[in-house]
Amino acid sequence: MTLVPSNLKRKTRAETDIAAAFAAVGATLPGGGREEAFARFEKDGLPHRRIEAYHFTDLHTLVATAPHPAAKPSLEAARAALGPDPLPDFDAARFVLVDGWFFPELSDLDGLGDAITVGSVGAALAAGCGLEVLGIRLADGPAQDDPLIGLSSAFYTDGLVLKVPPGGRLERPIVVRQVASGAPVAAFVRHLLLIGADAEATIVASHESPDGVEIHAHSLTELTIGHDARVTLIDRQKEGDGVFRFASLAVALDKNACLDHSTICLGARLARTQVFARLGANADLKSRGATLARGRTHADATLYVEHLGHDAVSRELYKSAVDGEARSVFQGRIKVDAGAQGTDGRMGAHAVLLSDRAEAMAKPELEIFADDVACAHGATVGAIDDALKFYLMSRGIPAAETEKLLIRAFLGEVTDAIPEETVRAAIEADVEAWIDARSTTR
Amino acid sequence: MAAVKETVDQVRAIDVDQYKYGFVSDIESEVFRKGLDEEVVRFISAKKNEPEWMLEWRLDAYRRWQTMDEPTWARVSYPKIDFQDIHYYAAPKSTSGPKSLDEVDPELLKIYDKLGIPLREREVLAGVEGAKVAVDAVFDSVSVVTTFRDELAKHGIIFCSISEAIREHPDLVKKYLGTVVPVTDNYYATLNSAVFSDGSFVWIPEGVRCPMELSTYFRINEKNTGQFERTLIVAEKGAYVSYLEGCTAPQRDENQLHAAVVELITMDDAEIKYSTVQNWYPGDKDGKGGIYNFVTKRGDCRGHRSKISWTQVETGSAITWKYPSCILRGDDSQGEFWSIAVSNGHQQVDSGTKMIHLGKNTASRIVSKGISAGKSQNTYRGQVSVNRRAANARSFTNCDSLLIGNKCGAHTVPYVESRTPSAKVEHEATTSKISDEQLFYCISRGLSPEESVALIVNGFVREVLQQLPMEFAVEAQKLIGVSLEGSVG
Amino acid sequence: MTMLEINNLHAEIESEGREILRGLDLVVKPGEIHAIMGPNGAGKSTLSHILAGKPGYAVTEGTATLDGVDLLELDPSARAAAGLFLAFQYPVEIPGVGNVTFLKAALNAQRKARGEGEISTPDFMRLLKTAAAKLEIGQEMLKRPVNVGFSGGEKKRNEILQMAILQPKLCILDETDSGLDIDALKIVAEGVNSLRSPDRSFIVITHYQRLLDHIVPDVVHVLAKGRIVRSGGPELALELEAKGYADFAEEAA
Repeated sequence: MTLVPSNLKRKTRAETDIAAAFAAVGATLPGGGREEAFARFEKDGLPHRRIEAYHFTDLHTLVATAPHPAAKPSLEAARAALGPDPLPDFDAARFVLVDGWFFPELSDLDGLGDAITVGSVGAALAAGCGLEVLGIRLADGPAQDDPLIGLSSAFYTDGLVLKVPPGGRLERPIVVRQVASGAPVAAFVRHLLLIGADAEATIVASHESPDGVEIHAHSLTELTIGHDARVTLIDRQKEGDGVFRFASLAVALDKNACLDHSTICLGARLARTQVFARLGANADLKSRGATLARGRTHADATLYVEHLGHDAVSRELYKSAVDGEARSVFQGRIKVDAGAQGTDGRMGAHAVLLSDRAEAMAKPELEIFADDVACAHGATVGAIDDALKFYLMSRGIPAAETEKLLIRAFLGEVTDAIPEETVRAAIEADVEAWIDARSTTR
Repeated sequence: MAAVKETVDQVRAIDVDQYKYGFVSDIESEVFRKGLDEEVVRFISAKKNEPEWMLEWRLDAYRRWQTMDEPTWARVSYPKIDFQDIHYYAAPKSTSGPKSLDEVDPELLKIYDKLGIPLREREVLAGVEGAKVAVDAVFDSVSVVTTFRDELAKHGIIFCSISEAIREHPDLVKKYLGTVVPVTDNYYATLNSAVFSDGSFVWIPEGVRCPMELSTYFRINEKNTGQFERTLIVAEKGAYVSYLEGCTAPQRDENQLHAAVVELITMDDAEIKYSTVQNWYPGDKDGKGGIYNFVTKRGDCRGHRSKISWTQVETGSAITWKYPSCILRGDDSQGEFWSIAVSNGHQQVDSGTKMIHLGKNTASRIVSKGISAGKSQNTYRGQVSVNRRAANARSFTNCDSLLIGNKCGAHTVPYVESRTPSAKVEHEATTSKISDEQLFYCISRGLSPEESVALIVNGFVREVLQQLPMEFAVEAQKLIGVSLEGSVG
Repeated sequence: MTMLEINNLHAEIESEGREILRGLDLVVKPGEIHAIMGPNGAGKSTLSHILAGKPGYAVTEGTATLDGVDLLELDPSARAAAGLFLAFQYPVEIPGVGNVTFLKAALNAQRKARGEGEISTPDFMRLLKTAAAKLEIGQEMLKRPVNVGFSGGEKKRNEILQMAILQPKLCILDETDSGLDIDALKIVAEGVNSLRSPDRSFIVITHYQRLLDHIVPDVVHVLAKGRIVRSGGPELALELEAKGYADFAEEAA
């Protein structure tokens, strides 16, 4: 019986658009479970601030309209849309999606290793495989109730299916390029990644789109990591300035599994990046994020980490640099189940405000039902420390340089820890460019 | 170690299986029928000889309340309250406004004696107690007596029941009542605005430092009775007051509702220190009975350089829903929240604070210590919000939880919102159990496991206890010990 | 010829409007070492902050020039480029900024401001290695972020290292001796002494005479209540050590 003002009960234009789209294409989408997924979205519609998980990111007001789901572009159009490779020096396979549709002609999936299954969700569905056959289902738990995940599950068209068998190893990392054709459409991607016991894999997601066009880029990644397996996942988001990005990662780590996760948010007018992680016994999760927000953008990073097994370790560090009239949101929840004795969880969220109109919101949460735990979180919001600035300037470094150096150092704690060297260098260059653009536009 | 041994002894001395204050007093009472409607509101107002404007204020609140829903966002669960099954007015029969202690029903005085609250001024004056404390005693729905009024009056201080203030000082009440917690602030505050029966009123004139601690003792005695007290404290320019609040209730099988509203206002350079030791009946070991403590407390630092400090020790109540807050409106104003929340048995606590920074150079400090034991759930919920105009605001939160046993829960839900770059907001939280190393260390020095836990918990909460006036600190320390009895397996 | 010239300097703490310097005069010639001593709260550290350009102070009257350049007109980085160096009493920690990166950035920024080219990496590393060895600063310390996790003595040595690399004209040591044990004090003093040259001057701010056994000053000043109330040779420091500052507190009043 939440107190919901009547104006929040009325359907917004965007919700009406989405309902119309589902009415038009829902029945034609293969794979099953569409109606039920859409019902999960429809229950509350676009979440508003009275929905606790969206308290600081009110999609009811932030999303005015919703573009129509993208049809598959022609190969020519897709090829034309594909810009230069975002990681030219990175020796990895390429899995290319344009407007949410896989293009094998533009991809390179050689040399991934024996016994690796790699394919597209679209092809699997077309061949009559349901999700159950693919062996993957949506992670249980709170991810299932999330309205954006409901929406992605209702509309998804394509995505990567990757299975690494037990003991297997992805010989080359995979770069998943999610590219926009530039048409004002909604793209819905759903990846299914199944990493077997004692296996190893590195996956890099790259989100690219042009400025100046309203695109809704939905993506849902479901990742299951078997016991003793090790996964590195890097998400580099450089969407255009008109893009609404809704990205969710639902990951389950079996016992002794490790996930090293990085998410870098550089673009989009509105970005909601969600991580739902469930940790088995002795699992090890590292999740780090850097957000660089400027203009009038809104960047939200929301984490829900559940410790279900004993003695799992989680480390989350999220940093945002907020300029212009932008707003950064961090929500991080560590939940420790009654059976998760020996949990060690630490979460840090730090924002630096670079302009008078910048805003930062943080809601780090601890939810603890076991007693033998060591959990902590810390959050800070503030400007660049004047004492540091003065110290650097007193050594002869000019004011503008000082600020750059300190922003870089602030974000460095996140970027320095990104594991793949080539990817890290590219991200560091992104950060550098962002900082430089900042000083030239001021 | 002497002090520690003493504490443990004190804790021992209290009968741990019994809620000490669980007796029911046999007092002849006047109780109005159950249920809530306009007639009840009119009855309460008439009973208090209230002026017309006050009745209108109440009726307005009642009508608005009818349109509202109970909040559900807190991490507490309880069967739906039947608001028509509660008495909204109960009063000891003989106390239609005692002029002095001599007129107070001797049975009532006995009860307060039993509670350890000195109401007889001469006893206090002669007393071994040390510091002088003026007391307003609220029994069920009405204030039964207020002590030291004459002495306070010499300083121009008004300390009386809110009912009396509405009659005798209507201008002051009209000026301030409902200006911090508006009538429609939340479900329970609105309910309180409609049916509040009594509470304390304090007004400290400009430049006056209140010469003694002021205090209110709340006691719910009657069955099926809701208690809805209303407290209003105003410190004019440069004034200072320290105010203490204590609460107890008898052991009963059914749940009782307590929905109070406390409003604090400080003008330029004024300071209010508000301390609470809340020990309402928490229910029995199976979670039966106990008080629902749904309280709205808020301070408004209206003046520049003013300060409001909340200190609370929460050990009682079946459910606590309470967020003493500060609106830091004046430039350079300061808000503090010091809290110890202990939960055991089936208790549910959802408590914390809000610090709303509006003025420049405002500062807030939050120190919260939660201790969960038994099958209890203990949540800290806090908000620090820095407005765009609040240049150079500073806020620091430190929020620690301690778990004793593996059937309880400890939760931390902070909201940090900053809208100005010159502000600095910091939040830190930790959750842990009492470390085996610490326990072993204490035990190896000859302490029993229970003594060891008491010692470690005392250390854990020390910072907050130090904020309490001396007399209260000792009582609070005892209470914490008692509340945790039986929690070590 | 003068290095530093301060005339009738008045300054207050901006937020409080409280006057700390009340007409301070000081002239330091090239190659000289001046010690400034005085009771706590006399304004010693304030003087160093104002010369370095720390925000939060307002100069209400007077002038300060370095080699003829008006210091008070410059922002802190320009003052550094003009040759002023302050060794902080409490050097700040800068997480995420490596010590070497920082030193190189600072040196190049100053060179750039003076119209000189950037130093080559091998040249810089050679310079750094020599200076660090003298101050017994190991590789490990150089790799860490600036001052992060450094002990009190390490921080002070790091300040002197920066001084050695940046080669300033005027060095101000603000209570560099505070919190140092005798061994660390000797290392710091030797570091400073090795930088003495006919065209470099020092102002050594200290409360105690101890440091001046190791860094022997040409002139000793007593600063009390915001002004220089007495000046003399090294013997003045010994006198202060014996008698304390009580007399000067009155003289200034």
